[in-house]
Amino acid sequence: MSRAMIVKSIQLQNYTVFEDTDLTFGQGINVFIGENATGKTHLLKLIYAACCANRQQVDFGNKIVMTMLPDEYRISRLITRKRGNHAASIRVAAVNTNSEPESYLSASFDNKTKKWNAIVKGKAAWEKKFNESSTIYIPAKEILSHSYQLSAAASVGNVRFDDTYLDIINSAKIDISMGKNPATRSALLKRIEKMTKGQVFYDVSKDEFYLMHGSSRQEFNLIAEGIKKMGLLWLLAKNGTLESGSVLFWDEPEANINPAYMSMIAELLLELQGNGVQIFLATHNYFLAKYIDIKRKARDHISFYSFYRETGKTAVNYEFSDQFSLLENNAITRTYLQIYRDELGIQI
Amino acid sequence: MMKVIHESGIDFGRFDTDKLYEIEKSKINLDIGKGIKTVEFIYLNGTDLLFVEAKATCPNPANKDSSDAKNKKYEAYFSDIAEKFIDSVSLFASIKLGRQIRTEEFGRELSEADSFRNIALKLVLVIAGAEESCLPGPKAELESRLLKWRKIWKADVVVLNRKLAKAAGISR
Repeated sequence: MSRAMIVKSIQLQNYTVFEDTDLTFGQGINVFIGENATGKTHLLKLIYAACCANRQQVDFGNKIVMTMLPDEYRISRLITRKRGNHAASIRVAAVNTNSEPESYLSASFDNKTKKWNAIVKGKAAWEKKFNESSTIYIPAKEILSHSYQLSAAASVGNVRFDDTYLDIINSAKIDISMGKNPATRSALLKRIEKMTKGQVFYDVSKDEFYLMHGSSRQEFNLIAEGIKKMGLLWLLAKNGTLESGSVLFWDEPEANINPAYMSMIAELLLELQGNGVQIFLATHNYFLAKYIDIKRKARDHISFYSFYRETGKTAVNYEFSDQFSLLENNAITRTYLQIYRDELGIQI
Repeated sequence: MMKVIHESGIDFGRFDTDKLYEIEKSKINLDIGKGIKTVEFIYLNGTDLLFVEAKATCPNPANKDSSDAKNKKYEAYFSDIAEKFIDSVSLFASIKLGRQIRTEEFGRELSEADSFRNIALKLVLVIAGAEESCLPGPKAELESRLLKWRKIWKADVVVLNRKLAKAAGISR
């Protein structure tokens, strides 16, 4: 059975800020940009939840709730808050390969739905088709250095973190090298090591992560935030989680990372995409978005989605382009241009 | 035959005249030019078709005080350049589509090319006296003003100074 999963599209009705949205995705890198509160992270988490539902033990409605954490774990709180809105629906389409027909996973709920008990359809077929595909969500905040006993504390309710944080810790702790492409993985690891200047090690007995430079090891707590983030990526590449056919979600890769590294991160993402990893990322960073555009080759599949609101409207719209510089509703380039005008004292 | 073009204190070239169209001085522009704005020249540089406009300076960040006069000057500077690129691309397309008669100054290779599918269109502004750090701003401003045209023509905006123009091989 093929390991691949390619998310093709999502249709949303009355889900958080998305009143009526239909998005089609590329098989490579899908970049979400937009001002705060335009739903970028909501969308990342929702698609992630759908990908995770490829496992028998994961309920789609429950996963949505555990990544979003609405009050009282009630999925109905995710219905768009607008007079007259009482129900929401979600439909995600995916394939193993682009030449195959799509499979669908859907969820619908209304304001009478208890907890996370959305009506889910297509789960059995979804599991059967995609159960070998791995999915990773890297949240904006670095979490490995806080991972000590975190999963246990969360499971008994002593702390509250959404599943994106708990899942990434569990993924980082996997110590099995899976996958079929050792040469590809080796090249990727070497590229990441140029930034981390070392290899990451998880000490099971201490439940702590370390960065190894030769024979010396350094606690994750003492390492720069950006290096910790790249160290996580190194772990995921090493343990085979980021192989061809997997889906990677990365919320604000630029957070806590020196802008000088944006070029390397763009190259890393392009390499992962070239290795068959479908990527969804949200960014506010001009350098990262621009470098993805600059470093791409003709064979790379890159899609840019700009999420925005029209003046006076509450619904979020989106604009698609295969080039960052051709987006009309581009909060990042608009700010970049405003800096230039402000520097000159120009008011237009 | 090779040619050097002097504009805004820069010696552009040496260009193969078979690949060159000095649009600003062309007979077509003189005939129909009233109200039409053009760049200095168009040049087929390998797989890039360059529409080149040259300026000596750009808006100066040294004076941050805002004023109406300053705003107007800024607007005029960039709208003028944008209009030059737009009109020049349109005129070039009209020549290639056979709408113009006096095309004797159109470089031979430009005339004979039956497709520019694999040629990248570059809208090039060379600001002779600008520091490199000052170039991203004009680039962002022109990209914003030319967004519709960049989408239609799949064109890129490039902003260079004297040093970068030389490094790019389009000036001496």
